[in-house]
Amino acid sequence: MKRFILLRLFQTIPVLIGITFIAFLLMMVTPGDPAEINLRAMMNTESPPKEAIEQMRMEMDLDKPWYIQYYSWLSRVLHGDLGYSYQTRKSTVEEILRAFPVTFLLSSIAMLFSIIIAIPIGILAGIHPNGKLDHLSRGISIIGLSIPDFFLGILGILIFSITLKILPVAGYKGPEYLILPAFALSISLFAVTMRLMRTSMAEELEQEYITTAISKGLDRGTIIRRHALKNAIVPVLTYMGTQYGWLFGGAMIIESLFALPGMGRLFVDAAASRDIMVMQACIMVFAIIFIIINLCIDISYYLLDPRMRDTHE
Amino acid sequence: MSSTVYIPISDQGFCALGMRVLKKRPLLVFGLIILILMCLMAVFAPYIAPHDPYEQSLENRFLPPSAEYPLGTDQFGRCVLSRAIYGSQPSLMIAIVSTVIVVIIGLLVGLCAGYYRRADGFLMRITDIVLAFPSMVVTLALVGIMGPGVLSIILAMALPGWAKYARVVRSSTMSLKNRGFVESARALGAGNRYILFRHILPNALAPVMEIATLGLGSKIVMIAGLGFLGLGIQVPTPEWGNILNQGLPLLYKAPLIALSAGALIMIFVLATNLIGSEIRDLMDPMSDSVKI
Repeated sequence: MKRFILLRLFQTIPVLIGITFIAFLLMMVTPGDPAEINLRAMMNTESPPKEAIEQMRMEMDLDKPWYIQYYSWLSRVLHGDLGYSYQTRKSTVEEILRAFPVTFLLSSIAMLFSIIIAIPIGILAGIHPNGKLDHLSRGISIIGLSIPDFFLGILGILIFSITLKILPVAGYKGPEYLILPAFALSISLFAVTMRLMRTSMAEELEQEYITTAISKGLDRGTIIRRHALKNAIVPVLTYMGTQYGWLFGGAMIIESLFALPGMGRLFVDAAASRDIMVMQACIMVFAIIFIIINLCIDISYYLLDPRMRDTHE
Repeated sequence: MSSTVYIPISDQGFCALGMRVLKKRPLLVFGLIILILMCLMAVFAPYIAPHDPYEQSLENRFLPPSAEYPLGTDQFGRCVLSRAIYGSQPSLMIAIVSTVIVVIIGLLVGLCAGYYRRADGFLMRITDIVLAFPSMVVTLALVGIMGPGVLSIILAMALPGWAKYARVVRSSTMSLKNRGFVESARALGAGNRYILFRHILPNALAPVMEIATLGLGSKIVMIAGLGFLGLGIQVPTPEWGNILNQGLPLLYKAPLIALSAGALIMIFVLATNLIGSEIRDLMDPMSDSVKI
């Protein structure tokens, strides 16, 4: 158990090094001098004096070969110094801390939508395969998988904000501003979750232990609630877990569409204006969230499935 | 064994074959027809579109749909339908080219990693690193650095895209290389390269086809996303994403601008999803993976 977790942690080290190296490389190939950007922010002037820039470059080891640059950049990052934004002159860490909660909330609400709507529909469709609800949910999921989330967002604005006037168009002044974007963001997860839950439920109900339970005289409701549901929902929840990183990293266009000040929008703005150090920080945050989620999933598989343990010990 | 006589496919007429596939896999045929129609629309856009997509006229601004302008006109008096039709050209071209590139890179990396044990560790670590980023993040970063343009969009989508294919090809290569037919080829003196390209590659292609068709759809969405963010194909060239972007502030006045482009993207992705899931079904009828 401990050994497996340690081994898995150990395996992420090369990936982490690779990710930081790619982020570092990004800074190398993008035009713009990190020393000058930092000085602009620290001295709060448009054009800092040349000598100061030279000194800053020396301090940041920017005049040394690339591997020393990488090493000193990495040690700065590990100390929490991610540089400054070119556009806002605020520190990158500050920008990330401001944007992170918005995206976190948005993707969590999107996930919640899938849990409270898609899973019940999937369960009902799985109890009555090829019933009316099953066909309806199949139709919804085909459309849901094909519609780009930002187009769904535009349709949502058209219907709920412009025609019905019940939801705000864009901006971020309260929780109601997240309803439409979270729904649009969740659509493909919603579609897959619904179908996965349906298949999983329908399969579980064909198992022999269910037949046993029926022949024992248990009523259908109890069988479904007490026996089938418990087993059927596990793969669905693990799948949803794997998708959280995609929701988080996929919110860029939705956030720009609805003018939400989250990580995605921060990243898009940074990419559009070549704001190197913000871009770099965003990329690392996205990748690290991905890695943490995969790590958690692997460990939870290990804890949940005893068969996995045998192969590793 | 039953007494059914199997007629080789080549003995049947093309139509008969088509009918048989249609009967068994109506969704596959439906998807293929949409896909072909979309490609034809892009190729023959000048003949199909009722107007020049760039032609502006100030007295014709914001016209409602009519016989002359089936979907009305936009803020510059340009024909909305014609722009949506022309919009398919850059999207399809970029999506197809970048898909071909990622398939080739993914195949080469996957074959090498699966076949040569020495290369495996190194290549798979790189693949892990590439897969650690959401692909849209990498694409956006690269487009941001290289600046918008057809070439930079293709590159930005190809660089993170191959990793998925490499993973799949590697695992099928690993299982194929120990199979009897490969071993007999080796016993007959076939070289590594011959075995890889003549025996393993053709058998590893089916799952690649599936991801590639699905990938075509997701690339169309990504291209449109870039265009929507203003980082893709630049106006005035019509492209689905920038049409959506331009139509957004005009939703009150002329919703058909955004709706036309969005609907076409949706139909295209629908077609690739149908084909992709049907190919998966054909390869593995017993699979219980998410069916739509």
